[in-house]
Amino acid sequence: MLRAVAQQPAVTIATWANFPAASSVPSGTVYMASNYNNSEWVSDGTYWKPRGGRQRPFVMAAAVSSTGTTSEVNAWAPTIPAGMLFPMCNVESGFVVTKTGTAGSITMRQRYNGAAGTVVGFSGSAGTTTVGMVGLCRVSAGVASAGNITLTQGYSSYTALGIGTSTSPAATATHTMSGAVTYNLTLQASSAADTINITNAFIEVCG
Amino acid sequence: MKIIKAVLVGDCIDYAEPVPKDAIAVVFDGDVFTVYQSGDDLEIPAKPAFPEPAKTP
Repeated sequence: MLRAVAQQPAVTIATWANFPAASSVPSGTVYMASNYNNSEWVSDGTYWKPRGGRQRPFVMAAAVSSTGTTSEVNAWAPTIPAGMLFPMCNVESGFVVTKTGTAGSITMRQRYNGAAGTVVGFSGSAGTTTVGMVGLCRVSAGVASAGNITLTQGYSSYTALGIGTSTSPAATATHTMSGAVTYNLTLQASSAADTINITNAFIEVCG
Repeated sequence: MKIIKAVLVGDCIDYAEPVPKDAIAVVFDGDVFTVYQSGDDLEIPAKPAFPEPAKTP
């Protein structure tokens, strides 16, 4: 008996570096990035885009804790490879933090391009009595210009449900799509007596 | 287990070398990063996530 079966596009498994150029394969070609959390990417004929509009190529593998310093500490620095970001994409990142001790406050930052890079994702503090913190942020790309996209900070503040506004310009960073970049999650305690624990963090690419 | 020195990048303390891919926990003590790896027969220092409130007399 014959039965109709919906045709699924074949998925080719490869490391990201071994993906062919998106322009060299037919639109709709699907590849799985075996070295980026088995995330799946679809060629639109020009760029590789996350299958279904969203993929999570980066998940923190090691919990990080820090104590004994009031300096900012680079906790997690995944490298976004060349070609993973594209015009009009969003980069969403999140974290969960607990704090042992209530001697001081904590500040979390999302930096673009290294431990001393531009604070583009967020820079948020929590008071001394805080023992838990959850973050979710988005940076959004605009159109391409000469191979670059501008990543603009989102969620600058919430003054109305679903609408973020700010009295100061949103932070931006210029990203060269043909280059790789680190996206750094940093932590900072105002008291060396406290211990900050990052129990989970991730980055998703949407678009 | 691996000890990674800390370096200052701008105003931020950073790893002097990449964190091994098999890391399961990283503990920074203010001086160095201690990286616990899968297969280590070591106990990761436990920190209570939510400390008990101070007892009142």
